[in-house]
Amino acid sequence: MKNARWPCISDDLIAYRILPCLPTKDLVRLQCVSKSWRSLILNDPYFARLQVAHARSRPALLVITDKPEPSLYTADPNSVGFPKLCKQFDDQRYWHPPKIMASCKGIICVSLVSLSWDRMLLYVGNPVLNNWILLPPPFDDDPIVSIGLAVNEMESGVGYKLAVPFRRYDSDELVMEVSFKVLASAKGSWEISKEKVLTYSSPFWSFRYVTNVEGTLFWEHHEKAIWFDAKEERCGTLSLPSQFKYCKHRLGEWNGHLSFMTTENGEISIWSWNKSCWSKKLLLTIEAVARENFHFFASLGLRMNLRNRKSESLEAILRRSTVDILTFAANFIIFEVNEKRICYDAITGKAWRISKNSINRKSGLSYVNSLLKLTNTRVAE
Amino acid sequence: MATTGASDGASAAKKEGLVTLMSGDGEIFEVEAAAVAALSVTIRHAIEEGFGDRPIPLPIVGARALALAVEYCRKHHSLGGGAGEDSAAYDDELRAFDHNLAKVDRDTLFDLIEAANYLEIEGLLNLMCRTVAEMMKGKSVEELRRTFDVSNDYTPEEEEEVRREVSWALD
Repeated sequence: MKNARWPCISDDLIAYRILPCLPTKDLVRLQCVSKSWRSLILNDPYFARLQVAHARSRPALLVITDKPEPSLYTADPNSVGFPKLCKQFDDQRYWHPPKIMASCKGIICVSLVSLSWDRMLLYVGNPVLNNWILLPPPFDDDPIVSIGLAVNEMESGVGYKLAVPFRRYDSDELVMEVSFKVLASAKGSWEISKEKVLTYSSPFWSFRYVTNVEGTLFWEHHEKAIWFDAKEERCGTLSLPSQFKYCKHRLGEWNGHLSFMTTENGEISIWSWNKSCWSKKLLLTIEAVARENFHFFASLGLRMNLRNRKSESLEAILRRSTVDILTFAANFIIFEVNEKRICYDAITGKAWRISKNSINRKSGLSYVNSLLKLTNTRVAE
Repeated sequence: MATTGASDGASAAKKEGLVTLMSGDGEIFEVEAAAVAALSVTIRHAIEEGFGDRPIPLPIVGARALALAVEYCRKHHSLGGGAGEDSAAYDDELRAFDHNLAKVDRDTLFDLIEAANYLEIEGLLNLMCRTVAEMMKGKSVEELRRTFDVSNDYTPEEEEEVRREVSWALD
C-alpha cells in the first residue's frame, strides 16, 4: 500500500531508472530495505546490466600490491569495494593469498598458488557477490603468467572468455608462433585457438601484461602488441610506436583506446591507437599538476617556489625531478616524482600522495564494481 | 533565442506554432510546439495524431511539474537542440540550468520524475533519477524505507541475517 500523503515514484521507475544509478556498494547495503529490493539487487539480470552500464562510466583503478588485498583508487571511495578476498577463499589454508589476474565488468579472475608453489587453482567470479567458479586447469603445466578476460552480458546470462597466449613453435631462431589457450563459459573446457600469430622470437619473451580494450585483449611483446579478439577469436600483431623504445612506457587502456604512456622532461604523454595509427597527445605536465594541487605539492617540499609564484624556480625544480609512471588505467595514473608516490585523477585533475606499499610495475587494472553474476556453473561441476 | 522577442506579440499569431497542454489538475499551458515535441515523445505523438487544435490532456501530470517540464524543454530545445548530455552543444548554461532544476524539494522531484516518465522526456527523467540516486547515498535503511514508502517485510531475524551478510558495505 502506498502512502497517499506523499508523492510516490512507481516501483518500476525506482527499480530500473533510479537504483541502477547507484554504486554497487550502496546497493549491497540497500538489500536491507526489503525482500523485493534484495531480490532485485541480487537476482535480476536486467537490473545488473543497467547497473554495470552506469558503473562503467567511472571505473576504479585496482592495484595489486604485496599485500593480500588489492588497493582501489576511485572517485568515490565509500561506494566501491568488495569483501576481503582472503575471507572469500579462507578455507584454503594451504594456499598463498588469492591473486587477481584479470578484471572485466566487475568479474575478476583469481589465482591461488599452493604454499609449495607447485599447484595453481583458477577462479572467475564477482568478488562483491562471493560467487566463484573453479576453472579446470589448462591442459599443460606451464605456469600461467597472464590471463586475458572478456565478459559479455547476454539475455541468457553473463558469459566470459579467458585467453592465455603461449609459444607454440619456433620455426627458427627469429620467428615464433603464438597461439592462445581459450576457455569459453559456453564450452567449459580449454581449447587451442584456431588462429595463430607469427612474431619475433625474443629471449625476453613473456606475455606478462594484458589489457582489455573493448573486448580485445592486448599483450605487450617485444616492440609489438599481440592481440586477441575475444568475441571473434581472431588474433594478430600491431607495431608499437617506434619512439617508445627510448622512453619509459607502459601499455594499457585509456579512454577506450589501446594506449602507451610515456614520460619525458616532466611531461606525461599518451599514445593512442586509432584503428590504423598511433597518435600522441600531451596528457599532463607535472608543473600543471603541481599548480592545480598547490597544497599537495607544497607538502612535497615545493612550498617556497609555489608560494612566491616564481614559476621559473618551480620549473627548475621539476626539471630536476624524475617522473616515473608505475601504472595507469581507468583515468587514474600512479607515478613517482622524486620518489614520492602520487595518484592523479585525470577527470578531476586532483592528485594525492599515496603510501608506498610496493606496487609491482604494471599491476594496475581497470575495475568496475558491479553486480553481474556468472550464471554458467557447468565449469564448476 | 529568436523566439524570446515574440512573447508579447499580437494574440492573432498566438495559434501559430503553439500547442495547448492541460495538466491533471486542469491548468492550461500554451507552449511552443516545436520545443516540447522535440523533447517529449508523448507530446510529439499527440501532435502527430491531430491533437494540435485541442488541449492535450495529461491526466497524471500536476501543474507545477508540467511547468518545470515545459521550462526544461524550452531551455534544452533552444540551447541544446534537444540532445542529451553527450551533445557537444551542451554548454555551461544548460549545465547550470539542470543543476538548478535538480535543487527542487523532494516532493517536486518525485512529481517531476513521474511527469518526465509520462511525457517521455528522456533527458529530464535521467537527470532527475540521477539526482534521487545521489540523494540516496549515505542514507540509512530506515530513512530510505520512509522516503520511498517501502514496507519492511523482513522478520527481525531475517533482517539481522542480511545485515550480517552485507556488513562489509555498512561502514
